[in-house]
Amino acid sequence: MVIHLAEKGVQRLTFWEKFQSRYFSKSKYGKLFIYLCLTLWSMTTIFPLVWVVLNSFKNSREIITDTFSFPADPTFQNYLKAFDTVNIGKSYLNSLIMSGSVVFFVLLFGGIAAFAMARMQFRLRGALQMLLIGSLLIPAFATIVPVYKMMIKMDLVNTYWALIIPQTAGNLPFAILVISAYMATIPKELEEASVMDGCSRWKMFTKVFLPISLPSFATVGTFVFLWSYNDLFSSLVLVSQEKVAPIVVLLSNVSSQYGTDYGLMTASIAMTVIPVLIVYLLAQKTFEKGATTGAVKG
Amino acid sequence: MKGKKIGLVLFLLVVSLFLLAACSSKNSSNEQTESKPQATENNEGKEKEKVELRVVTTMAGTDPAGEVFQKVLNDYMEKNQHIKIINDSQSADAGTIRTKINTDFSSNNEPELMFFFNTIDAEGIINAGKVVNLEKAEGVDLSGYNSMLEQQRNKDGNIYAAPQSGFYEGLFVNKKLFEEHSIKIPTTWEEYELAIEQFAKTDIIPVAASTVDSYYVVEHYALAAGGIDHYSAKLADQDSTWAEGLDNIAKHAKMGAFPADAATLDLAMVQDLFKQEQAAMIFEGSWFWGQLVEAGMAENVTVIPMPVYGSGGQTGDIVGGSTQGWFISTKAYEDESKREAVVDLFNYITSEEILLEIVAATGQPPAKGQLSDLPEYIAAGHKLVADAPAVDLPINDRILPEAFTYIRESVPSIVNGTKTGEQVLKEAAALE
Amino acid sequence: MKGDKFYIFLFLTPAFLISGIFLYYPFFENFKLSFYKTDGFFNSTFIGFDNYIRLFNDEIARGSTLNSFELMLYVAIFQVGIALVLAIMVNSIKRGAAFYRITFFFPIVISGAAIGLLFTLIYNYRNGLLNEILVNLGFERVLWLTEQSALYMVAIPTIWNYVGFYFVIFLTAIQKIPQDYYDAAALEGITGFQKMTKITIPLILADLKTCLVLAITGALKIFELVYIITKGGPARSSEVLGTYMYQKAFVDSAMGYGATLAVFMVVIGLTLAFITNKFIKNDKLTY
Repeated sequence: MVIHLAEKGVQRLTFWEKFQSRYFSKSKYGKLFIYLCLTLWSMTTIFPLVWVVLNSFKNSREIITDTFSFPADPTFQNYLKAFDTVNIGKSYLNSLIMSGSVVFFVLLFGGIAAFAMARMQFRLRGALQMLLIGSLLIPAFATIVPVYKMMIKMDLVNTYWALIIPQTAGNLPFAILVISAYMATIPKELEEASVMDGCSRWKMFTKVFLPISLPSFATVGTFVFLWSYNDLFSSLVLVSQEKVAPIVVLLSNVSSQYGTDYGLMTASIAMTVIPVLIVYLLAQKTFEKGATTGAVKG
Repeated sequence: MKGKKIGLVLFLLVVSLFLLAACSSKNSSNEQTESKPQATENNEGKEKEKVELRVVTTMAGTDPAGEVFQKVLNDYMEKNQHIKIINDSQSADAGTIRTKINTDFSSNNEPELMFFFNTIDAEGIINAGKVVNLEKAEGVDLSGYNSMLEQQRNKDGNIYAAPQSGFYEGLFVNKKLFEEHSIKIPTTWEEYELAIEQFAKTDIIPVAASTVDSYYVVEHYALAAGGIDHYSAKLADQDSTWAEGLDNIAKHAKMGAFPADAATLDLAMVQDLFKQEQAAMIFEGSWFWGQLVEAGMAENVTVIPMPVYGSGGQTGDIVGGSTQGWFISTKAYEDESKREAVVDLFNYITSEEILLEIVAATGQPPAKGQLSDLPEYIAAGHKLVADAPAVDLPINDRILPEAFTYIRESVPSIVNGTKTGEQVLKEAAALE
Repeated sequence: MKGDKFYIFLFLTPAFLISGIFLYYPFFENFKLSFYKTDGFFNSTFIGFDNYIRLFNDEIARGSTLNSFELMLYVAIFQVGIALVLAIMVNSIKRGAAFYRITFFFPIVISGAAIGLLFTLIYNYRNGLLNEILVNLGFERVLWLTEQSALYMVAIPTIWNYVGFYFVIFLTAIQKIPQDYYDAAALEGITGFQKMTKITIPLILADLKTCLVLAITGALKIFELVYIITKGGPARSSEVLGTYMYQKAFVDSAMGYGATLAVFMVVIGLTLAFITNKFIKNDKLTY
């Protein structure tokens, strides 16, 4: 099919396309242009992180008066205060346990469901797809009270499950949609070959589709971790007690009726960001691996 | 092949049941904890029954009272080994505490003791009989309170909440800036308008205010236009002085009284303009002192009552009161195993000594006794309250929240001329 | 395939069971609330369709809906567009790709509250970054958030914040295209721009469609940045459905009407997603 397209393409190179290939993709300037664009964009994205880190070494007042300059008199006060007021270690652990579990359950249940949605034909497929899209639209504000009531009834409030279960439910639709979109375009031949080998659907999933889709799992896993981890709203309602509180809950306590302590806020952001970046970097490794396996098999 | 299929089914079944079954297993563990008191009864004579009390308050986070409160609880547990207190406090700013408490009370999961808003926020809980009438409750000590206790009296004549401290709102002025520009600190409405006019000519913003988070501005302008009599009106009256107050905000905005971006500023940014000495005046509450001390400018600031020009009152009337109090849940009170402990804890926390210890952290006027060694500026505020001919609660604690939000968020539309104060009041009243 | 029915059932059940109990059922409860005038807890009066009638006569809701649509348009075009271009660019280079992959992700990691504060401090009239620059250059201060401009001013951080999200999804998708396809194409003389339109985009169409759906649904739920940066103002000129719903349900304790707004959001989102689905033909694309 590609070859076919390619033949047509060669015959019908427009002026613009010739221009493109001469000045952009083949020439040095094209590459330079690409690097310029990418670097410009990366500057805008690095900026806020630098801003957060720099400001975390300032006091609250300086953050507003001189927010975009280097700290005149760097202070560790914010970090010390954060470590002092809250049990950081324990809450990191809580965050890790809860968000890690959410990622695990979402990828497990979402992965197999995505496989079914992407590679199998059944009557309700279209309806389920719409249902999944619909569920992306449900705001957490709309479900929190019923969910909290259910958790009270099941006596799960202030246990890890109180957050893990609803967050798993909330993130499954996203995972299924993204993973199934990825799986949808995996070559049919691979599926047929595995059928020839006498694979069951489960084996086909674990031996063929899971390895190839690993990058997609990594991407979804990263975002699910991120959302679960940053979900202050649900956490405040469901797991607010210190023994189970995730890091965002403890650090959100920086605000009070005496106004927001921006120093403490930026320090806590710096501290919450680090684990997420680690998770992302780990997921990146999977990207590269997945990409190569894909290439080999294809 | 078939065996594998079954194995797979089992695997998935186990994992998904694991998720769902977590619920039921917790249920049974709950029954165990509930039956614990009976188990310990065997050791009677030696020890008292173990009791677990959950306490929910808004004293958390960097609220200076939070730390003191936890210490008070720890001291109490030390003295009463059989009582275990779970402090489930959450800062009120988080915005989830109202939802959480109301859900708890409507789902039979209420805390034993709570420190919560005794305003429209608690109305549902009170009407449902979920908290006890403290005057009728056996063993509850309500002695020694000042007038703040009476303020807690519900429409039905009972008292459900015991106050801890009060607050007042007023016009905070930066004395230094007034002196530097030789402007008189206003004591009348005319002087207030003159001060606005004069500061508007300088680089200093006359009044730091948000017209969208316009709580204090709306209240004080209504108070100025009508005096306390009209201020205390119901929304349904659509009092014309409220409308006049709203229109005055627009008038002053045109005079340059407020920041140029007042319609999008939040309260923190507004406070910051004042703290950076870029604005000469601000409408705030007594809790603002904490920030001013931190900013190192409390000595330069004084708080004055809003100048009233309306006929229904006099300058000196203030917005304030005591809107938070300690509630005992009916469920805890009726539970034989908990009643004694919860009443004892209530009496301990509301005793003069402990109450003052907690309130001292905030510098607010206490509901019992007197704070000693107050800085001059805070003492001046307390005097403001003591001297006030009349005090009434903020409007948003008295009327339907939807209606107040509507009024507050419509102020920018009044300022830009698309609506009038009267129109806004009418539309807000229609929401009730 | 033989025995598929069994596997379909087996694979779908856990996910839909959990979502059913902890997502769809709570939303059904929310749907029921939309027929009550209620604070959600103690005071509830059944009022039939009154909340829906109110919704259609509510000027603020109408304005918020239009603003949400406008934001959605910008998000679908620019957020997804920029992300696609960046992904193709990063895929085309060898050196430094890892660096861009990591840095483009930064804004997503930082919580909305911090991004909101950052832009508040950029736009602020008196002490904001933009006006400081203007003043230093000898110009007058500019009011950045006016009734005309506020929606654009919140669209900028909103778009920028989540470009990295779609970028990562696109990059993942592009990298699954085997290199030999490009090699074969190169032999035929297909390079550069053509490579993108003839190979890359057709082969990631399913992912592109998913991203558009995510962008449309995501745009409807936009809340935090608007809430922090403009408070929906000035004079409600940048109020969106997300902020209005939050205000009704949580600031005003009008759970019933808030629930009605939530139902409304789901209905428009579904309609739009349905149209998107029809619009981009779902040819079963394989290699």
